[in-house]
Amino acid sequence: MLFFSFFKTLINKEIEVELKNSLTIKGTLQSIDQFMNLKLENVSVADVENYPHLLSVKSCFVRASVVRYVHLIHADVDTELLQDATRREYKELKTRSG
Amino acid sequence: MDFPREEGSNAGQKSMASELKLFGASSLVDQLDKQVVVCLRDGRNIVGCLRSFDQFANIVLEDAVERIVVAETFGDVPQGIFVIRGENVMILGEIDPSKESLITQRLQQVSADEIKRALQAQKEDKKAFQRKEKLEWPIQEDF
Repeated sequence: MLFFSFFKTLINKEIEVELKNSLTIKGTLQSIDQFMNLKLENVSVADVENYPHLLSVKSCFVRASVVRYVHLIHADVDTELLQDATRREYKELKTRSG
Repeated sequence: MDFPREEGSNAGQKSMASELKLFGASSLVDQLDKQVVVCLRDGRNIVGCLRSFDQFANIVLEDAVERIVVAETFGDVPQGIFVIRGENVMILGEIDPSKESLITQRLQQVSADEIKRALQAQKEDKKAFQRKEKLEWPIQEDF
């Protein structure tokens, strides 16, 4: 659930999603679910030449299984906090499994 | 119309409820009854009115059309009711009616038959090009 929580801290931040077909979508993260399906607002597609039919889209849902990368703005991410959270999650997992 | 729901124990209902709550995060409820464009994994684009969805992003579209873009033209091929299995969905975008003009500014709309012909011609062009490449570079066949 760590990545779910992590993405929840990025809600309302500008992110860039690269799909497995190399289509890149920029937008404001509106919501995220446990599968890491994304919903973006104020969407803009980098490659308008090849995807002109996406010009009229204002908000979109991206299925988690087609995402290759998510590019974030460095200022939006507290890597130290993330690292600590990772340690904590690992510790919890270890104590739970005994 | 009310669909019959599966009967379950209390515990089952509880987990179902929490699951729904979780899925609610990225739920497509806001898009119900709206015009949406669905990009499929095979590169096709279906435009229609979103009628139903579930946690796998299985989707039902009413009055669906396949939107085909060839070079500077585009056309809509009517497909009726379209049920899409979730795994084939890449993105589902809500169409802003005020932004539709952006497409018609850029591309010229043609009839379904015309766009089908254009697509066929484009495919044949590609095939001919590949054949030509093979003839010009026969040595590549040996590798």
